[in-house]
Amino acid sequence: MIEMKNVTRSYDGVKAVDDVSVTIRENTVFGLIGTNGAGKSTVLRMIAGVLRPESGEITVDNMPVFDNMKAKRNLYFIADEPYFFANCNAVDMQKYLTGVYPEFAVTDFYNYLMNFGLDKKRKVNTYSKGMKKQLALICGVCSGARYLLCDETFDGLDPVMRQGIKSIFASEIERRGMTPVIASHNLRELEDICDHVGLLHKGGVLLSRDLEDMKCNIQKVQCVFKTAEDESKAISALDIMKNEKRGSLNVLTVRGSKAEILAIFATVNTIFFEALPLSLEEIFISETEVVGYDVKKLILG
Amino acid sequence: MTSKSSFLVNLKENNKRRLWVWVLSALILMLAFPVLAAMTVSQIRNGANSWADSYGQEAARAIIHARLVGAMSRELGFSTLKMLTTALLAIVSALQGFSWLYSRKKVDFYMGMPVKRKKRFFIIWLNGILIWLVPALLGLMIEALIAAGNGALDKTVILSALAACAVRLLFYLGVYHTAILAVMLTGNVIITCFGLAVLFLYEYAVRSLRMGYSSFFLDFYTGYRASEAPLLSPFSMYMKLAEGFHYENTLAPGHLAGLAAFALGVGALAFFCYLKRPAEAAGSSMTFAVTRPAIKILLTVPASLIAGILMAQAVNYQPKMDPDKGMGYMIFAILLVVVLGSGLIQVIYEFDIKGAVHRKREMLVSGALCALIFAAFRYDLTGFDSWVPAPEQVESAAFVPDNYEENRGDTCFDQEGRSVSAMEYADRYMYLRDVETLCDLARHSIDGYEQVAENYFKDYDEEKWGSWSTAKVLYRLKNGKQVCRKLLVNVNDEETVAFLDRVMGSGEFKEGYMPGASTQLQALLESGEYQVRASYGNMVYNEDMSREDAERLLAIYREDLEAASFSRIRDNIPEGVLRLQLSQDLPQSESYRGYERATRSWYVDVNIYSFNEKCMDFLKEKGYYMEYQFDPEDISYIQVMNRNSQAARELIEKRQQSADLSVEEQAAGMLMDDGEDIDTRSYAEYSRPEEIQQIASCSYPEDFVDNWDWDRGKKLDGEYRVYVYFRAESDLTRRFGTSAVYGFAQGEVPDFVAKDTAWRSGK
Repeated sequence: MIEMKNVTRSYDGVKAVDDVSVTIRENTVFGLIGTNGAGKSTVLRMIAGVLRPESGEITVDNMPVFDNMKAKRNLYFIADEPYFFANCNAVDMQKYLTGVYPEFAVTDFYNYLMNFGLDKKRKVNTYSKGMKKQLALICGVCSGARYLLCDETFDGLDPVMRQGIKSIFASEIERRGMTPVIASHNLRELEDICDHVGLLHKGGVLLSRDLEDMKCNIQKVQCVFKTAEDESKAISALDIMKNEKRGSLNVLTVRGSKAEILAIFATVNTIFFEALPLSLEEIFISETEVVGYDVKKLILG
Repeated sequence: MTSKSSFLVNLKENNKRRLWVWVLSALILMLAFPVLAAMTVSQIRNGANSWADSYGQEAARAIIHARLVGAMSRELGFSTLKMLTTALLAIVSALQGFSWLYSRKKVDFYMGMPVKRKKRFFIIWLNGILIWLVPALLGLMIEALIAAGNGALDKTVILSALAACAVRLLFYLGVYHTAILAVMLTGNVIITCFGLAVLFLYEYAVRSLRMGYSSFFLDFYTGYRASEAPLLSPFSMYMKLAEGFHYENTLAPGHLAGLAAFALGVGALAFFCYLKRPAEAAGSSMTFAVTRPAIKILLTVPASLIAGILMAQAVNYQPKMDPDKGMGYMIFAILLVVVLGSGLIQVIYEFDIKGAVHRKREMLVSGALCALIFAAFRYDLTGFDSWVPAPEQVESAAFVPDNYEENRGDTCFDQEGRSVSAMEYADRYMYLRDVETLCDLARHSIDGYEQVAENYFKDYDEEKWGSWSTAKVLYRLKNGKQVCRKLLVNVNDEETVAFLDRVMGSGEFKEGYMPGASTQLQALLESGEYQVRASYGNMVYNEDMSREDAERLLAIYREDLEAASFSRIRDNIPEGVLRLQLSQDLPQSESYRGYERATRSWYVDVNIYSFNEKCMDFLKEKGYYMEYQFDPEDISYIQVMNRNSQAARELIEKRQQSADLSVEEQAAGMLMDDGEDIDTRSYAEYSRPEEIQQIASCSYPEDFVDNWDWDRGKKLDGEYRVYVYFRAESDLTRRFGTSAVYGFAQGEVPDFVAKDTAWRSGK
């Protein structure tokens, strides 16, 4: 488990991360979302032990991380622009990483390279940007580190590659409890990968929730009530986060499980009723609007 | 815990990324230098035939061997080229090894890896040393093989090579650690290069600036013991060790320890900065924000003051002659560079041109510091020029007139026979005990000079303002400090003369200033290591003197010296000069300062005056005495020329008066009559022996009577020139040609000559 407690970090007097407390549990894919400059990279760099927090505490499996080899062997950090040695190929990277990560899975590394169609002898500086990201991810996955910290690593990957990575993640999570932590400014990029999301804004954490919890606890309902009495009865019984009315059609975002909501609607007469799935984007919009933020502006621009 | 194998694996992995530095190092140290050594050997061997033709096979072999040994000592030893390449490789190695700190990508990668920061530093640091050390040792072995193959690898060469190698390793570490420190303090390679230049040159710049401002503004500043050479520089430490080795054939332990301490200290500081370096420093200008204002001010202030002094030179500002004329330009230049320098550094800090106008407070601090330093020198706020120690503070002192008694030989030397300057000689061997008189002299002179200084330069007139000669005073204070000051003394002032008589008449002064009086010379003579040649002469005639006579004369001279004082030397012209030549044969294989020499010689000239009565008696007794400057028997005739300058002036004046010009026109200088067409010179020739003898008794060569001598004593009469024509059969003709030029001392012109050459109108 990675724990950040009241962590603060600033650059030249400007706070990049301000009193952040987040817990990243094992066996999950944690998505760290935020706009540019929200502090995602700083958080990841601090977790990776690249930066030392000015105040607060970061522990990885209850061990402080900065310059702690035992803790860092459990981490692999892929920066937004992954670095590879000058004129090296995948084999050179493997040799280096084998030296620093004792549990580096060499066989898996070459298998993954083959599966992703990456030539192990080809110079990395001739790879495309996407290929470099794939190589970085393969290095990270094969390092044997439990926590894989990915800074904007998925941005720009094509859907097939994303699916491939997702399946690798799934198998590694299942096999050895790997915990990827993925930072991105794009909600849509994370939707199909993450199961826990933290939203950063202006250096602070707005929320941190399990995606499934959020999805199960928020429902979107479109309905047309038969009478005004039915409408007022249902509305008073529901925990409504948002209500849009287009003519006689009510579009409601409602907090609660699907069963609870269906039970309430069973007590009133409706002409039309439909429960719709919510996208991660919609969940975020709803959740953050409740606390007074306009997420569309924050994340979607 | 780091296992040995893991460490070696990391070392190997790190080396993979430093291959080009290895290649560069190997090319320079294992290829270029051995080739250079081979070329040097070949060049010397090529000269073998001509040596054999000139000196015979045996001698040629010895000469070539000596030359090879000398050349190999230089090539394998303290070669300047090797020092420079060592420095270059140290800088390249440091910059390349730690350049990952400049890039955020690389910092994220390396710092994210489970490798201890200290371990990473140590691996890169160690590799940086091996990159130089391994090729250097292998290259040295190749060079040694080349030398051995040519029979030039003897004890001297091996010793020189080993000593130089050890010093170069410390030097490498010194430069390498300084370069690492520069990397740690900066965030990109360009700023690192600037930083490195600052680290290497800052002390030199500050020292030069201090010396420059001191000599520019202060009347009594002397550069003796002041040096621009930085104390905290691996380059100057290396040079000192190399120089010491040339002289002593051993490494000075103090300097060696200094270089090692420097390397260690800077290395520790670099490591400390590495541990404290934040990752976000990558790509920025300066690593530690807290150091930025200090560094800006520390750079701006000397740069501005240097600009000020350059401007002063450009506008010919001479504060000692006119303290105010030109000062405005100097201040303007200082302020301009304060503004521009501060702005430029801030632009570099922020990578933004708008930064030029930020942080005005730091600009103000720089300006204030510049103003304070400028004022401290310009207005002597520290009281430097008026400082004279209280006599009770002074243990002993040395007083050294500049260029006094110049005919006393070309060298002073210490007890080991090493050449030293007159000031260094006095520094070592003059211990004046009458410090009260010296302090009084200093106070009297400083006060006197202060009153006349401005007028002295504006209206140079020795009659009005005095004759000021320069000297240096070294005060050895009781608290252990030693302070050296320039002193200007008015040698025409009676009170000053009285002081000088007491100071310069003392035995300590003579012991520490006149080599003829020194026990050092006596020690060299008694050592038996020197061949001595002696002669006595008056610049025209020279008589060889036996060693016994010379040593006896020297002993008598020391007894006679008691009578010598400033006034007596000033009022007399030397009767003759005792010249001693001390020569020492060096073994053929031994080199002196890196150059082969068979012998070395020192010359000591001792002026003998008429008041050295015992010397006079001895010279007369032994037949060395020369009554006249030249023997009438050698002279064919003498021609005396009198310029009659007074008559010329009168003629010009008369002509001006007779010209039809108004008083106003004359006052306005409209008549510019320089009298070029007026020739008042008169000549007279003398060939009769009694006339020649009389003229010979008062004629002197210019070497003996220097009109600008420190004591401003006897002068030649500028009105007369004495052309002495030698007889064709005389030995003097062969030595000096047909004639030589002499002069009369002031007030000693024979009456008949004055009469014969006086100006008569219509002549």
